[in-house]
Parts: sequence; structure tokens; C-alpha cells
Amino acid sequence: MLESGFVDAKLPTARGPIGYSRTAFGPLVSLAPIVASLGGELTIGPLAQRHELAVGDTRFLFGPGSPAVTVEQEIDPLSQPPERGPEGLQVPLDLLEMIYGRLLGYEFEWRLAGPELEISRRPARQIPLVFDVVHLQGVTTLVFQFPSEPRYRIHRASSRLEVEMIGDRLELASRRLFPADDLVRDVRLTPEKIIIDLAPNTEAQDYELESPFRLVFDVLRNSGSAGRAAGAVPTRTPARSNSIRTIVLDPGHGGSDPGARGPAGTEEKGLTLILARALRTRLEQRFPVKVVLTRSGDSFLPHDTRSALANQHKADLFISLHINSSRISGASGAETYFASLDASDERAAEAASTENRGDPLYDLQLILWDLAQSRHLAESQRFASLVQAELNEALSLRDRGVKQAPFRVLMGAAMPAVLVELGFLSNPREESRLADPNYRNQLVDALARAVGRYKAKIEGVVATTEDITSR
Amino acid sequence: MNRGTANSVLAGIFAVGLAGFGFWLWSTRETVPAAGETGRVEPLVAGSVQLMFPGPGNLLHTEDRLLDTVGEDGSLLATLVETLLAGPNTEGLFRPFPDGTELSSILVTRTGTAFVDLMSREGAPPLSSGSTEELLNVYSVVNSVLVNAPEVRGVVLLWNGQHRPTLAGHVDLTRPLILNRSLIAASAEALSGT
Repeated sequence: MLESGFVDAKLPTARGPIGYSRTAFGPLVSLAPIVASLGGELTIGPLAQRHELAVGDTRFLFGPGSPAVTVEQEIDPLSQPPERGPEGLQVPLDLLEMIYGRLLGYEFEWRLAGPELEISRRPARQIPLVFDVVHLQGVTTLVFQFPSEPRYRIHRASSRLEVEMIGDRLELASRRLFPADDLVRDVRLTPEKIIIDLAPNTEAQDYELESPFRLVFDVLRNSGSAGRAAGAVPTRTPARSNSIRTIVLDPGHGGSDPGARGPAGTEEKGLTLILARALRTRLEQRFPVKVVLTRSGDSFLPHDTRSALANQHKADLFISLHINSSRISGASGAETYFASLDASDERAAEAASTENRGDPLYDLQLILWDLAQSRHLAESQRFASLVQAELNEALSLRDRGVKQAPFRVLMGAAMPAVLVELGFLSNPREESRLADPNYRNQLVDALARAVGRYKAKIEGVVATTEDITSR
Repeated sequence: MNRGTANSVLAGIFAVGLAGFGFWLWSTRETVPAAGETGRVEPLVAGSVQLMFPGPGNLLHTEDRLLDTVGEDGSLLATLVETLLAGPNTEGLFRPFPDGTELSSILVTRTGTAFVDLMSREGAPPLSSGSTEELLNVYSVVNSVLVNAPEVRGVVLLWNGQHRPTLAGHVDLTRPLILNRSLIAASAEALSGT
């Protein structure tokens, strides 16, 4: 902790000092006075571990020492864990933004001078909306395009969907947007919301697209099973669609952690960054995807931050790039790992069966965060097999196969995730090859082809060579 | 200050101290086990044990060793780890950590988790390495403990007394590790692979 004390807080209903502390990751501020001012019901567990804040219909679960918040069934990472302070729990500003910003349209501004915290309602913006509709193979796709990402939440009630703007107002020449078809009866607009009336026996899946920001609803006949529960469902995390839109590449190591070092002095951290940058360019050239690097320079990044970044970007794929080393001088070849959770499963089972831990829900929350990868193991293995196959096919590398290991960087990734070892730096011959840009291009091409094949499988289209190798 | 006031002040100080101690006990309940939580530090009996050293094929190779002395902390499990760190007798196998790496302490909780605290003689952080090397180093210790001490259910590795997310950037050390059979070479496997 760098400092602690009281910050001059300008709240909507009052002004006064509230407790804060500052760490290397930013400020933590006392939660209780903010809840008192902005609203919500805060319930604290008997050991002051589990904190539940209900705002409207939405419940947030969090606690001291946990770098994540559980919102309904989803887990979101935080910039830093909340900590206990003299006035109760102190929380990071991104948690407040998540609760009061997304739901109620508040803004939080921290000024170092003083320091000072100002909380205010964001002034309403007039947002021009562009609407488009596509009919394809029994699906009506409604596309709402915004100039920038708006704050909104979606309410579902039987056959009606309402997209409520939070703090902003919609602007459109015509209020009636849509002639009815078999699946969608009507789409209309008010300054505060978009209203979509669905035909009977249909369901709508929502997701977001970026650059530019679009909110999309795919409306299709339902299979007769019960739909989603009626009531307000805040759209924190869009339902994951069967497509690959965002890919996070993680250049292994960095900064004070050089990783493996070859006999000629080549460092793993530099090579992984070069490869990740090249792969980003290749992927963005070939596919309509957004590619994010966990680090863009020679900086140290904790493992959990790397996977948290992937989660924050709602990535559909996480690829951690590494170069291996061994004390066996002739060790060579590439291998692809996906996470092994054996140890975690045991821990989860043990925690779940222990009644005297004080607050099992809190433990469960931590475990859920730890095991974000567990839901994606099958897909991770599927992608790992494609990566390894492409590396084997394209390069005269020894096939070391697809393997499982409890690698930390994969554990918290809430999407299919692999760690690829692209050769052995400890092997002088492989170190020399990795220094050759043409060879690195071959590696990058192989990885891009693997992504292309996986994307095609996920999206259910027949991939052609052209799809995979060129735009 | 009269006697009553003094007694009240002393009682207050005692209560605050007791509360502080209670909080400290509670706040450290899930980190390194306190002495009272270690039910058993003698999980082995003297005799032949199997140590696992990194070697050809980037696998762990078993070496039979006789364990007949107790380690510095008086436990045979400590002796096992100390013997492992001292290195193999078989040519072609490697010691799992560089020279200068020692066992600081080993504790086994009642629930069967072994906390193995390794230390660098110079207090240095663990060496950087690739994932294969790190996997072999970590599981050399983990597997050696687990195959010889069936009462131990999982192993937590510490370094210089500290929890670390990983030793060299890959293997997750934030939870107990269990036996990794995929890294163990078959007994008939030749010591010539890469």
C-alpha cells in the first residue's frame, strides 16, 4: 500500500471525507458511504468476507482479497482485490463503475490532487442509431449500430425485448423501424429504449460486435424448450456466440522475466513479442477479427493479469506464445498445451465439502474464478490439436504432441486457451532458426492457419484453403 | 490513576491484544500451516525410496535410493527432498534445481498437504527456464514426495518461504499439485531420447 487516509468525496447527495488507500494498481475507496449515497442494499457475511450488494434486480458478490466479482452467474476480474479498511471494505473504482456506472450511469473521477473523488451522473448524450436487418436461412438478424459503445441493459419479458439506454438518449429519424416478418413482429424506438416484439415460439440471442460497435440480435425459432427466465437481465456479458471475433495473444514472459535463454543469448521474451506482433498482423489481414496483445513492449505482466485481460476483452480465443528450454542438449520440436485441472478439481471438491471454512460461498467464488478455464477444456483441446497439426504439417519440427499441464496463465482464461511452445531455445540449431525471419514467418503462418481452421469449425462453415491462407 | 481505572486499562489492553491475536490467527488460516495444524511430519519409514530426476526424453526417471537418516528437521520426508536436491547417482540424469538450492523446511498438514519450502543459498529468485524444464523441476519434487508418502495428497512448493504463482513463469503453484504420471518415464525406457 502506498498511502491511506481520507479523500474529499463529492457525492450526488453530499460531500465529505471517505476512507481510501492507494496501491500500485490505483485507489481503493470505502464502499459503505458510496452505497449510502447511490443506493443499493449491502449484506455482509458473518466473517466480513462475503459482501453482497443488490442494486435493483442485480446482485454483486465480492470480498476482501478476491480479484473478481460475481454478477449473477458471471465472474468479472477486478483491477485489484478489495481490502478491509477502517470503515469497512475498500473497493477499486472499476468495481464501482461496474455496479453504479453500468446500471445507473454514474461516473467516477479520481483526482490525485487532494486527492478528490467526484461521483456524478453522466450527462445524457444523443446517440444516432443505425439499424439494419438481415434475413438468412431462417434467422432474422437485427443489427443496431452505435458510434461508440453505449451503456445499456436488456429486459426480456415473454415475447418482448427492451434495450434500455443508461444515461443516454437515442436519436433516429423514424421511430418505427421494421416491417414485420415471421420471426419479428415489430421493432420501434423511443428516446430511452429499443423495443423488439418477437413472434410466438421464437428466441433471440444477443451479442456485440466491435469497430464499429453493434448490438446484434439473432432471432430464430426456438426448439420448444423453455426460454430464458422472464424479468430484467442485465447485459453485462453478451451471450457467447459461436464465432471467433476477438483473439488475445500473450507473448510469454517480459520485463524482469526473460524466460528461456539460448546459448547465443537469445531471450524468450523478445522472440515471443516479435512472433505475437507478426501473428496479430497476419490474423487481422486474413480474418475479420480483433487481436489484442497482453503486452506490447518489454514489460513484466503477472499471469493472472494476462488471462484477466483476455476476459476483459471477452476474447473468444487465448494463445500464449512461448519458446522452450531443456537441459537435454538435443531437445527440439514444438508442443501445444492446454490446461490440466486435476489439482484444481481436488481443491474444489475439498472446499465444497468443507463446512467449517466460515463462508463456503466466498470460497466457491474464488474457486470459480480459478477454474474459469474448466468450462472450456474440450474446446481448448480441440484448438490445441489444430495448432499442433499445423505446426507439424508446415515445419520440419519434431512433433512433441498436444499435452496438458497446470500452467498458471491458462487457468483464469474464460475461453478456449492454449500455450504453444514453438521450439527449444536451448538447442543451438533451433535458436538459429528462430532468429531467421523467414522461419518465423512459417511459424506465424502455421498458427494463423490453425486459427482459421478453428474459426471455420466453430462458425460452422466449410473452410477453403483461400479462407485460411489469404483474405 | 486509581486501581480500578488501571485494571480497566489493563483489561482493555488485554482484550485488544486478544482480539488482534485472534484476527491474526484467522487471517493466516489458509496460508502456510501453523505448527498446530501439522499432524504428522514422519510419513515415511526408513528404507528404499524412489526419487525422480529429470533426464532423457524430458521425462522423470526413477532412481532407487536407501533412506536411513533423518533430515535437519528430524523427518525422513525432509531427508528424501534433501537427497533429491543433492542430485542423482545415475549418469544422464540431472539434479532438479541448480547447485545452491536447499530445503528450508517441510510441513505436512493433517489433511495431507505437504508444504515444501525450497530456498536459494543466496536468497535468489528461481532461475528462468522454459516450461519443459520447469515442469520437470517442479514434478521431480512433487512426484518424489507423493510416490513415497502415500499419506500426502498434494504438494505446495514455496520458494524462500514465499508463495509464488510459478517458479519460472509456467507451472501453477498456487494450489497443491498432485502426482503427474505423464512425466514419468517407463522403467524400460532407454536413456537416450531427446
